[in-house]
Amino acid sequence: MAANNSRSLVAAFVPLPLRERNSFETLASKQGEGAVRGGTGELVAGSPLTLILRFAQNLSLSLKGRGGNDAPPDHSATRRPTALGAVIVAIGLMVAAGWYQVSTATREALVVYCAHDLLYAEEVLREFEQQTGISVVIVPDTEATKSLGLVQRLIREKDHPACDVFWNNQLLGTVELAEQGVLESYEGPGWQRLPEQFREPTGLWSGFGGRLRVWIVNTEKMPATEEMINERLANDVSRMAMAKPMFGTTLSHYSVLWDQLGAQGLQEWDRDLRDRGMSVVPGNATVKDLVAAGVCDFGMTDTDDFFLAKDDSVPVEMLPLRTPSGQTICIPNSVAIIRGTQKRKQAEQLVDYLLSEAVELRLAASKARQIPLAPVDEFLLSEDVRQLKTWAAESVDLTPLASARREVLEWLSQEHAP
Amino acid sequence: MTFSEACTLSVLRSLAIALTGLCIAIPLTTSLRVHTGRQAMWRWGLALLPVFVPGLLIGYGYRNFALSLVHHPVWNEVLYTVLVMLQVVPVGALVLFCSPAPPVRAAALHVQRLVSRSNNGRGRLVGAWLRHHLFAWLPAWVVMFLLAFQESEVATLMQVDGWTEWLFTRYAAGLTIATALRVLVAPVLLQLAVLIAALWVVTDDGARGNATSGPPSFPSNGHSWLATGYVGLVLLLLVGVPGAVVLRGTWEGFSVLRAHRTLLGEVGIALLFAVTAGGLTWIVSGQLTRIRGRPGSLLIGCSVLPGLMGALALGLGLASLVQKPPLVSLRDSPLPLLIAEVCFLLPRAVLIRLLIGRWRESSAVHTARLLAVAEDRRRQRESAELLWRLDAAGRCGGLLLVCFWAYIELTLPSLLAPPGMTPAPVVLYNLMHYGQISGLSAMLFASMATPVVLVGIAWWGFRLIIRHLHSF
Repeated sequence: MAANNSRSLVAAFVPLPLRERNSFETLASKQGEGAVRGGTGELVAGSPLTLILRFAQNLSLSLKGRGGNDAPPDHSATRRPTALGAVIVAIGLMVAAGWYQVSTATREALVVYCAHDLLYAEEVLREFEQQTGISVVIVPDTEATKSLGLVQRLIREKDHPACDVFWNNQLLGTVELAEQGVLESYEGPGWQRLPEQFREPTGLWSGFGGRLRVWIVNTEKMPATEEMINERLANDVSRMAMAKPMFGTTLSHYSVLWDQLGAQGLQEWDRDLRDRGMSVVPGNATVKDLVAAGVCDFGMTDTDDFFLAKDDSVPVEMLPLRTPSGQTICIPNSVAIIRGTQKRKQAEQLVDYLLSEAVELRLAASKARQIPLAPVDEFLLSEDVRQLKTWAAESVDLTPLASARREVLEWLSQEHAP
Repeated sequence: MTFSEACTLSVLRSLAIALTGLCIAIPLTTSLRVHTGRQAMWRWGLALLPVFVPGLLIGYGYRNFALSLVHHPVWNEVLYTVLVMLQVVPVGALVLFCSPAPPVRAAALHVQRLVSRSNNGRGRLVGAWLRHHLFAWLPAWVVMFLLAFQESEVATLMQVDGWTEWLFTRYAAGLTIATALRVLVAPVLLQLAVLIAALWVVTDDGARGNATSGPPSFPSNGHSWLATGYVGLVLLLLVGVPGAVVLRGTWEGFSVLRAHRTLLGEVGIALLFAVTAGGLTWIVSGQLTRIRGRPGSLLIGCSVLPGLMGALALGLGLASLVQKPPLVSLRDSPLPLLIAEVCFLLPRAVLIRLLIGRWRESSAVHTARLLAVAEDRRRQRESAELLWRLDAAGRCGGLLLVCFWAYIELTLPSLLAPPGMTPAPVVLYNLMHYGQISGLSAMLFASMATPVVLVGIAWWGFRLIIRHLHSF
């Protein structure tokens, strides 16, 4: 019996005799030799249909409970497994059609790695699809590794790129990609309308729609003033929250501090806050949630997260987070074309679309209140965004900080080394 | 936290979970063993409920509460440990149920106890007692330990430290595949050591009993109360709380579903992976369990080993293979993910097959088949119903369960899904940093209700077809 079963296992993968003709019942009884009936009673060795039929027959036998060595043989019902097999073939064909549709759609689509929050990005990209007829596949970052995960993935895939366009929700990771030779240059109309601070001189990347690093304060717990924050920072940080500095905009924030405080200064500051009980949580949205719920009194987050809490009528206020030099930190989105893309024209269309005034105004009008970086019609901006724009004008220039980001990452990786 | 610290924490936590879980699984199995027929089905159904609740749902349900414990990490750790323990207990109970009989029977132990009183052979009594219980309990303990050690979905969402969370996050953040694999050696070796030790104890030929099940024992009141308490806790903590959170959000955020039509496509992709990987796993497990004797055991052992090492180890291993030529061309195809899911689900499918074999009464099935030959149409219909209940229902249920597990799997698609083929659970997981918002709850409800409804329809369809085939 064991030998028979071994044979049937092997037979499931052995090509059948070419164009062998046989009767329905005989074939069913020859299941141990791997015989399967084709649509017209013919057997075609190794064809996908044969494999599907063999799969279906095996599954039907399995579901019917026949072929097991503890079941007495039931020769009267040889037609039944094959009839059930027909149902399973139908399911198999549906699944095959599904795979075909998915793979075709994916092959033709523009692949966009998107670190920006899907809540906002998806709407913008779907509208691009509607306007241009170019379908887009969005690959988001994992929840835990906002933006850094995709940057590292692009570096890993450098020699065999799967991505066409990268929409990063911050800048320094994109600068790193440019330095690693992952990006292709494009100086389109969108690039041309940007201020120099927010574009790479040769068109390797372009910035748009910025966010500010801010303090978020629960006003039921403490007044939202710089004096109070400084006092709390000096005395009690046990009810303060910050996102993990290895990821997202907190990494950019740390890169600025690395540049301004020096390596030792930042490391001491970081260690001091942790030792005194500051809560380090996975992301800026979590910081917002903790402060909004009153679990923490204040924390560092981004403007888009702050406005989500504000719109929920939670008692929170914000203050721009200033660096030791007194500047603010405005972190733009960035977009770039990946070197080696096979869909260069479609990629250019998407870059132009994202850098257009319409998209910047749309992002500014969204719940995230992103700050337009290129000139736009100011009358179309809300009061909130106009205020943010004045603070963004005082921002640190992030473009020279790619090396600082690398050093910060190296330090943080060593802190948590295996 | 370094990897060594995270790994140590995971080991200690898993030891505690497996030990506590065993203390619950033993009385649970004892109280379930005495029931038969429909009553047994309901009781097993309730006890096995955690097996059907996705980790994503549990993690989402407790995410905000876990956040509120940010200043009390110990309580968060305790809550997480309890939740995982509740999740793994039914699997332990199942393993206990289908474990072979211990080499030293209870009666023999009793005789030894009587003899040792007079001969002062307490040492031998302790040895016999240990041998008896190690043999009976070790497989269940090992399975629960491995499941707790490999758990990552709830841990990530509740922000609890552990080796899986550490490695997954660092890999996504840029740890090279070579370093990730090097780091992976320690947990894989640990799991292998635990498995080999258990196999060594259980497969000791001199110690193996001839019977296929443990001696019948009758539940005391305490056993029944413990089993009832466990089921109550499961209903409250694993089903009630996450269910309430999701349903409340769904009620408020149902309109979001209309705006996010892409969810339909993502659910479709998840279903494609589930049906393909589930079907393949079921076929492979069927072929494996048919091979009897030592070669069969060896083949089963080798086939289920990759899956027993956990989704993270399996996913990273396959990811390393498809990142460089010559296999890099497969990277953007669904093949690596399908292979990984089949390997991952194979141990579960084999366990289900073994359970079906354990429950199946061959003589009853044969009698029912003989009844089908009768001329009387009524008898044929009765035979069809009997054959469905005695034979086909278990197989169909097993297949559908494996497909459901493939649908809700999160770690493997996070590592291996090609662009454009991200299943719905992974998309939702990536949105969960927003916390418990109504729109997300509605999306989670829709994506989790879909497979449940489809499983129900498929079950009904299989039943209809198989009964029809047997009755004409």
